[in-house]
Amino acid sequence: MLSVNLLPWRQQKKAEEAASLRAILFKTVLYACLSVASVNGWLGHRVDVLAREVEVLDQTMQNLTTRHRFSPDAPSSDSMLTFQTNLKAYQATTMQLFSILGQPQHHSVCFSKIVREKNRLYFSGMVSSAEDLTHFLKHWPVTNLFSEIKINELKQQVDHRLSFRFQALENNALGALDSV
Amino acid sequence: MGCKKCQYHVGLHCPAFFDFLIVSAFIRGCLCVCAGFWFKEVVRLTYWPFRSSVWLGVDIQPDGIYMIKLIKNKKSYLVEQMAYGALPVGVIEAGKVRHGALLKGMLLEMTVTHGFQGLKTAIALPAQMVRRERLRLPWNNVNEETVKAALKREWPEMTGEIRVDFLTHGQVLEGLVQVSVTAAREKHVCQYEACVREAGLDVKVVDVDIYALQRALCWNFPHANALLYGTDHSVTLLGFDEKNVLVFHQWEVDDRQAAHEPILASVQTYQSLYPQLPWRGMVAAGLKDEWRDWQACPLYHKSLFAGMDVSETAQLSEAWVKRDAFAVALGLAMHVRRKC
Repeated sequence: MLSVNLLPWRQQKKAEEAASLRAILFKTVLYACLSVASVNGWLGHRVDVLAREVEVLDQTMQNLTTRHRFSPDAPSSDSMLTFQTNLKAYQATTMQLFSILGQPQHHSVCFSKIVREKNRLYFSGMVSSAEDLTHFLKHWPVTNLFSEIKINELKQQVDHRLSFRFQALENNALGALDSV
Repeated sequence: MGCKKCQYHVGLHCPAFFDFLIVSAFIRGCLCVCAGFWFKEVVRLTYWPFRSSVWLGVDIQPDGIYMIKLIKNKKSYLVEQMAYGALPVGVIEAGKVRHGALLKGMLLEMTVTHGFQGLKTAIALPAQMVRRERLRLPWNNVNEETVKAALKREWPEMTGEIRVDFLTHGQVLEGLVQVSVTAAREKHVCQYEACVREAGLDVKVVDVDIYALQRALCWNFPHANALLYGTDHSVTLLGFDEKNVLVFHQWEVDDRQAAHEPILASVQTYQSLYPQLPWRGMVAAGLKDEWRDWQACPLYHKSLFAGMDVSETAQLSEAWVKRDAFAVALGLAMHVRRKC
């Protein structure tokens, strides 16, 4: 079929094609920019969120460090040194105590029970007389390990012997261990 | 409600929730794009009824204005609306617009009455206002300027600006190609175009009436190569091949019964003049019973709207009575825009 158009349709078509090309280029650039911007925004948001998380973790770690450093209970390097010294001294005195207690003792005194509570040692046992107990305590080689010895109980038993119970307060070197 | 994946609450500050939003938005966007392409490529081009293009064919004849609103849907047509307005004698004379204001007023009235404003419109120049030429031009230099220059050489009496449209066809021989050129004076084209445009119509095509006639009558007769079309006042004979109208003759007749014999003689003359044109089939429309005994060649009497759907609005309109006279308007509305 013949088809004629006496209007300048070729020029119009060229103009339309040029406009269409421009629109396609513009839309391509626009969509590319929008895509890049959205991806950038998304990544930026993720970075912000992660940075906030890191900040929170840093803050938490800092708080923990600060609290630990300034805590009254926290041992300083000096106190730790003191603690180690005391611990060693405690170990030495304990070994000395057990060593002396393991040696043959005065036959008039027999220990039946030794209990340690904090920095106090409670000794229970039997003795033939009060004089023997006094003599024993005066000449007991571990007396220098204690700052104070106090007799709590002294009872006459059926067989005329005496049961006793006394407490001994350990020296400061030993007591320092409990405060650490 | 807390997020299961992180310690934050659900919201934009929650990375998991933000990831979910981004991913879901991306998936939705992809789905929308796919749906859009599917809709455009599959639905709209195949099933979508509004894909159909709506065209208005406006045929301005000396006796009146014929308008057809046609909807093209795939391979079929729907005649949506028809309108006819009688023109006073003298508005159009010898194809030229003598009283533009009167024509414009008439067009405006019809456009407003029938609600045709803003429609894509095709109009036609009468064939006698148009020059049809076959030129041979260098195959690699066929454009509007060269065609105009060649036409001025062939047609020296042509003065002033001209509008041309051309179609190249045939094989290249010795570096030349055959070009069918249709040309008209710009002032005549502008007269018609301005009147129609000022009536509120969007003029997209200025065609020639015989081409529109050929399109209207032969669109479902691909083997036809001639047509005979009669109206109350004229009978038109066209002989054509695929690229050119080879024979065009129009008889102004008052008594068609009496004109039958001379027209038959003319057709036989043309048959002898154009032996290369196989008169294998002639489509006839708008003719009365006197043409039933036509012997010159096979004659197919065709109703103008055969093979088309016609809306009830069109059938009930006053213009339906003059439906046989709407051939040019119909062919104009069937115009297909060409590609470069």
